[in-house]
Amino acid sequence: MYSRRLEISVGGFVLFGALCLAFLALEVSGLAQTRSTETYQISARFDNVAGLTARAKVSAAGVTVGRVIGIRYDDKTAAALVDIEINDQFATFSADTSASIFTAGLLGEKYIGLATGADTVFLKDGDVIYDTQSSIVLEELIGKFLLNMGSNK
Amino acid sequence: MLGYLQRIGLAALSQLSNLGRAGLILAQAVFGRSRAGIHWHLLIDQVYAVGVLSLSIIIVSGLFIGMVLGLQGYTILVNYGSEQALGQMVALSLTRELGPVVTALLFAGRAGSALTAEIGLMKVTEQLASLEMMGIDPLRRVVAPRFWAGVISLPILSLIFVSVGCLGGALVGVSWLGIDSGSFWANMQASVSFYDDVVNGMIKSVIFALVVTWIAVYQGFDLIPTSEGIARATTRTVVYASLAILGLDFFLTAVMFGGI
Amino acid sequence: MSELLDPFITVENVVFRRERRLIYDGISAHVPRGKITAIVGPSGAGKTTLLRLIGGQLIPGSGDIKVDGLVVNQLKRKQLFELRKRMGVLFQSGALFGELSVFDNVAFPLRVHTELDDDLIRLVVLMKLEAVGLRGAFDLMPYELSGGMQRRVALARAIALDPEMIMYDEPFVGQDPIGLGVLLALVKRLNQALDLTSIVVSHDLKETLSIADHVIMMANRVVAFEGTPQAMRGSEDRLVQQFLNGSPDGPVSFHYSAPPLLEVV
Repeated sequence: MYSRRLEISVGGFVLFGALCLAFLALEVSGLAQTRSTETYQISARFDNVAGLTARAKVSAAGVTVGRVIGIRYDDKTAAALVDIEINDQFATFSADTSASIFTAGLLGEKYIGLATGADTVFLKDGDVIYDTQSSIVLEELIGKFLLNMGSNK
Repeated sequence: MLGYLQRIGLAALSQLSNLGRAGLILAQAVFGRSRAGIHWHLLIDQVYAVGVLSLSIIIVSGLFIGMVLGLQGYTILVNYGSEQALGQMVALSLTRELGPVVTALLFAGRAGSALTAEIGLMKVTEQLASLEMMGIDPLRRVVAPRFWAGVISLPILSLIFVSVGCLGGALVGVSWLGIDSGSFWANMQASVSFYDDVVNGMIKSVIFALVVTWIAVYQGFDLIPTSEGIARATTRTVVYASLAILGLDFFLTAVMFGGI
Repeated sequence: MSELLDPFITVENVVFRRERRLIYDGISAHVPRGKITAIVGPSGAGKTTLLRLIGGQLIPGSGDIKVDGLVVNQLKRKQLFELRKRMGVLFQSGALFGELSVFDNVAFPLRVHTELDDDLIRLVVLMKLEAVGLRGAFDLMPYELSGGMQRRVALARAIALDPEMIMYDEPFVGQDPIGLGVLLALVKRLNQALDLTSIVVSHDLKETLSIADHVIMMANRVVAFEGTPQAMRGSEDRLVQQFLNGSPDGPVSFHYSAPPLLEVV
């Protein structure tokens, strides 16, 4: 009834499960690298955020510094307000930082790129970025291209 | 016309009473107080039977599904020149969907049917009645440890399945098709979120475990005590459990990832 | 009939239905203390059902079943489980736990219900196995035993906790003459040695009557006869005579109860 081998194998089974969890956490989801302890929140006002979603990454110079946590529509300015969460360790974005929406690869997901400016005052919690470049809408681009083709003739 | 209506009503009532009985069995097995507390060695025996013994089928299936995902994903992604995204594709499909669902389906076939047959056989051979007559509650002694063992084992099996699957995908993608190992893993890590993907997948797995084990022990406990009854109940376990898994999966996916 | 002054079990006006089928239509019977009582009757007369009612696994629609003064059908769950420790049951199939050895099967109720240490349990188990003549088989698995041996192991398990009564459900079914003789002698010997109240359910009439002190015959949803085996053999009752002689026709009908054929068609 009480078999040591059986107990050991069950223990091994549970341990194996724990190792797999660690593997999934560290290797697959990269929990160690992106562990966000403290963050501060800023917003960016875009004319058009087509294709951007919550949880999209926010990068500066190609390094992920934060994530989009929400997208709202602002009635007063008729523009989109994107709430961004930035890790505390990246605290030196100047007040005149510009934000652009990029696409990763031709069909990849949208992300926000930040380019810091020259101002010596840094962005802090609750600030808003106005210097933005909206996402490229493929239909508009094709439309313009066709129009140009037409006028060239 | 009234006859049809009556038959529908009768069927509905009998289904309802089945559900009620299943609920009672579960409640009594899980929440009924036991004089001796939890029987640890019974639980360990059962974790061995439903967990450890399912390990080989889970590892082999996980490996092959990961490898197939790698191959299929590669042939599609290479058309867009984004084969680096293979890691992301393999890992996301495994953590969110295939891991919990396929593990639960395999578990229903491997361990669920065995649970039903075992409990059913104990009923047919009057072992359950004999326990009762010894003053031992078979729900606590037989059903409860099997139920908890299922609930503990399935999420662990699911973790193993996903991990092995990711390694299988890497094996095909990196070692065979020659994707750069750095970009494979980096893409994976960048897109898989531990809380949103891995943890949600595990939550799915726990819910599947509850449902599959519940169905299995109920079917075993409530079957008609003949050898044909066991055969039917075993089939029912696999069919009902599979349907429940797929239906619940849609619902859970809608809640977790569908933005509801 | 002085034995009835001290009944261990009393069944009073019990009505029992399964689904819509009436099994018992108000039966009353007694089981005398310390004696062997045979419950006989044609197949399907609900003999095993009576055992389940006594064990509290089934609850009668009306009427009471008293075991040693306790009304079984009104006991709370916990009291019922306490009472069951005083009862041993030998099921038709033996109902041994297939994954446990003979030794562990017999030790099972002791391990669950007592705090005895391993040495003492070993001693008790071997004594019980000795009583059924299978001490040498203690390390075998149930599937390695013949049907008769399985029943004897189950018997050892049933008496492991030294119960006050023991119920045998069809113990003689499918036994060769030797196995049958062994079991008969065993039932008789255990009854005397342990001062048990024994109930034997069987339709092997001749064998059962040879060891019984008291007979309850069930047929057609009622108790058709109750008394000593001698009285039964001398009974003028047509039902009893049909059963004793094994005639195909008589009060016990060949047909399962149904409305007349003409009404159905």
